Amino acid sequence: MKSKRVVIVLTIVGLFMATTLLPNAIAADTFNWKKCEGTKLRFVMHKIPPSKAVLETLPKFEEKTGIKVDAEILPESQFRQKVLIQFASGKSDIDVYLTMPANDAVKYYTSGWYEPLGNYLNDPSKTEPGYDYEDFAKSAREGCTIDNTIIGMPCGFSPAIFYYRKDLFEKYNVAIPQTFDDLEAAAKKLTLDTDGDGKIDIYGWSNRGKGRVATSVFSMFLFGYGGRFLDDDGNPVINSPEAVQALDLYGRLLRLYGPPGSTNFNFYEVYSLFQQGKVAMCTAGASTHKVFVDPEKSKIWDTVDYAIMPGGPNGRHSFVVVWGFSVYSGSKNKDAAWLLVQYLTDKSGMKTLLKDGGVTVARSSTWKDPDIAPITKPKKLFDLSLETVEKHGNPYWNPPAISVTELRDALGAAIVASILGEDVKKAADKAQAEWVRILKEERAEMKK
Amino acid sequence: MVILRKERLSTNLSRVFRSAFWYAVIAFFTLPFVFVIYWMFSNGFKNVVDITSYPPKLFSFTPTLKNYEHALFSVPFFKYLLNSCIVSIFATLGGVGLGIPAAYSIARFRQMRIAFAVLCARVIPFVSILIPWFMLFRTLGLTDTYIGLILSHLLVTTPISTWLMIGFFEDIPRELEEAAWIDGSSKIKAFWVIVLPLTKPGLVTTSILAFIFSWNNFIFSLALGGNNTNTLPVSVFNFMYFEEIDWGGLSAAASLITIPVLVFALLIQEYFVKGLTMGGMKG
Amino acid sequence: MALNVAYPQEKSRPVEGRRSSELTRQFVEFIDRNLKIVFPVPLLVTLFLLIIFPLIYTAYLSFHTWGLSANRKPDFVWFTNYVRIFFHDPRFWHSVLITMYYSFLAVGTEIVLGTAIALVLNRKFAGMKIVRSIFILPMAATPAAISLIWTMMFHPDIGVVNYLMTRFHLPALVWLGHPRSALFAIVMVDVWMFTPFVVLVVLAGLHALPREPYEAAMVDGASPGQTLWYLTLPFLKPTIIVALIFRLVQALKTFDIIFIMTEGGPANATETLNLYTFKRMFMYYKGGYSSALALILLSVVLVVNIILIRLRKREWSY
Repeated sequence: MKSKRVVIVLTIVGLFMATTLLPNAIAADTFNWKKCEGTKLRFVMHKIPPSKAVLETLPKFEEKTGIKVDAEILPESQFRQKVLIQFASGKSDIDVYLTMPANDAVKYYTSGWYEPLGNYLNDPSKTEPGYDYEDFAKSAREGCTIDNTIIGMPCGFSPAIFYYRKDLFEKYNVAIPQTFDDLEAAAKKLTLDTDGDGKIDIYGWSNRGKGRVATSVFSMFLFGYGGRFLDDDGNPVINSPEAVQALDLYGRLLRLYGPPGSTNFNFYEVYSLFQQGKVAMCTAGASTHKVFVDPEKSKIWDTVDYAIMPGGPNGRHSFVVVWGFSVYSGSKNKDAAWLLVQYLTDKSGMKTLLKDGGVTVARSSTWKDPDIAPITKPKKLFDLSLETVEKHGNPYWNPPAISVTELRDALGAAIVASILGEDVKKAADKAQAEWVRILKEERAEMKK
Repeated sequence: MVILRKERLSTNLSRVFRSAFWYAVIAFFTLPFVFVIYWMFSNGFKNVVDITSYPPKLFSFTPTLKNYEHALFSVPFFKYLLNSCIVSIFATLGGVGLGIPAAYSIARFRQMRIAFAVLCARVIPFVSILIPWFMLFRTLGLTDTYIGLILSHLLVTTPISTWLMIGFFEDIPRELEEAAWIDGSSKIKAFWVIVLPLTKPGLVTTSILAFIFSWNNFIFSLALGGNNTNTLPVSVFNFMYFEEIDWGGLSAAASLITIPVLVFALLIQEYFVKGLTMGGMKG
Repeated sequence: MALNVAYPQEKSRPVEGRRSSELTRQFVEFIDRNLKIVFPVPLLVTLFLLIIFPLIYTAYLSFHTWGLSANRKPDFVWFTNYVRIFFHDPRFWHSVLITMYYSFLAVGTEIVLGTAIALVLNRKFAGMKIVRSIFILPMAATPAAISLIWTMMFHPDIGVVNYLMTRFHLPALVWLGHPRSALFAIVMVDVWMFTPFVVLVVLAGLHALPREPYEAAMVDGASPGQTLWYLTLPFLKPTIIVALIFRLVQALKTFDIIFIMTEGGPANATETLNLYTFKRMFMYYKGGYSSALALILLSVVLVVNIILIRLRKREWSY
């Protein structure tokens, strides 16, 4: 009799303990923002539209988690140099950094500089509930994954948008070009000598021509004609008939209807010309819009309009830059680093990033969030950006290889040759030979 | 009497013409250099739309202070300024401090091999220095520290300091020191008290040039510096955005960066020489 | 041990009571005796420590291939890099040519122009100090910023340079947009930036000119041209050579200006060896190959140094 009572008491006590202590035991394994309190993180990024918003949100992160962040923002070229020096030396103290997968992914991945984030996502003690990785747009997720490894959390897109002068289109009765042929015809029509002095005052079209940096814009034409960088076996096809056609058009547009000196134009020369009213059409990112409509910066602020980039027989392929935040594989504070990445890219973090406007944010839920409506002005641009990203966006505007820069240089040389009016087929063949050589060396290296 | 006055008049006239001529020549040579500097400074006061407009607005623009405001307050400008000053001043002191004794020795004892060795410090291209230096400095815990940056800048300031001073020491006749030695002074004392003061004008030029080389150096600061020790040239790059280059802010920042150098140059000249003297020191 | 027996030994001083001053005296004596070692040694040690590791590391890497990654260690490949550079890399030879062309054109102009300006400025006039301080400015502005400003100035359509060209009835050029004019444009910027260096160095040298020969020449009735040719220039030779040494080495390694303005283009027309080395290392991730290139660049600079220092040595007898 007594033993039965003991058993019942013990069971009750046991159940009681289980219901009170067990949740604590589980709680010890659940997510807690303050888990890594007191750590110091080093965060490096380059200037992208949300940079300022990121900087401003860091003190709140420190409040929330007790982690101090030493953040550095550099321009892109210097950023790459600095990160490279640090990672190559093997002694870097960087914890979190910005990555542009289209440019960096293959190299950084094969060099082992990315910390794979899949495990962190699946670990409930490390990832906040409600982070919702599936909420990111599909192309964003794909863009930040390589070889089935997640290497970064997407933080934004920048699609290429077609900008044009509304006043000129109206005055000369030009419709918004839909195809490359339309584009060329419009460019021809809008290259004008407006004051009759024999010198051209307005150029129909202007874009980058400075070799390597032009390949991203060029990719729109390449894919539009049905060309590709590499075929399904990974061999370069940069001198295919479609590629030659694209090269020819790109060079012709700049040579005949573009301003002189295009072979040295990076984006800023193009934009300056457009702002000065000397160019009828060009392409730029969605965030560039605000620079075009600022009266202190632009003479044509009241007549700028935009549309989706025209396409070729193979459709429209606006190139889309994807950015993500990654954790350095050699970081000594990976958990804390992951906390920072989450903070910047979770649902509320995304809203903060969008604060400066003009950049398509990577999460589907954020687009539909009523809070951001006042920020995403003008609505037309925002909608256009979304449409571009979802329907015509091409995040693969670089050949998927380690030696991306070298390949781009070789292709850039062909672009320069085309602009200068040289034999396009020869230039394409030369680029092709270079690509074959570069990729062969790369594959040989990788096999070792 | 009349003849004398006429002569005086014509000599005066020809003197005026001659100085006018030389002023014109000086202006002719100086103008190209000044123009670009003026362009940079004036751009800092223009709205961006005026900077890139054509025909260029050399004088006819509405000035604005926004760019300077932006340059000074959108980045921790004063912190960068302090960092640049600390690094460059100490690098110059170090360069001159290490270079002067060596230069004296080289000049007096014709130590060509040592002079050559100093020169060889400049042969290595920076591309090859960055990664090994980063490894080295990181291991020693010197990244993102003033000491680290100053040490790295020594590589730029010491060769020029040494080599310029060699020439200035050579120009001082040995007899002066020898006289002092005969009188019982130590060689060091003679060097410090007699020889060195005579090279003051040379010291001025050397310090200014060493300072400038260190001031402009950006790549070492990029590789070895960090948030605490970033120097001014970095601030210039802050005006290169994703969407545009803020020409106004860039020009304002670039203009601001030149001012401390000017101040340094003027101060150094005042400190060392009360007005640079003309002509020779001997005789 | 006395350094030079021709100089008399120090006169002995009355014995001081305290040990510290005795130690100081011995210390000073020690330095005096070994001046020619003690004075240069701190500098040499500092420089040695700074460059020895990078030098060894670069040499080591040049015999390997390495993609700068943490995963793959450098691979020993004997002389493969060097063989490829010399026999299979036309881009290398092209960059050497461009480097030589650029350096000699720019530095040659700077030396001639700089000396001329220094001679002109070497007289008393009102505002002298200001003018000399103005000459510091081109070097003082950050090369990066100034290069960008020059890029916009060279803009064929909205740039100031073409505007001035047309005002003086000269043809407007494409400048940075065409391979041939791009190099010329870059040389222009270099000359603008560094002629002041030559001016300052030569001016300092002019200050130290002895007076007697000039007085003698005036008595002899020499014309200003003759004074210039037979007196001033020969006296200035060592100073000019120093300016030449520094400018030439610096020009061979110019990076900022070219990288920012043209990045070596268009079509590699302005790609110097230093730029090519940088690209191979930081953009193509070829650590070994670029280290070999760097060693070659280093050797070129070394040879130039040797030649120039021979020239300078000859001046030591003056």
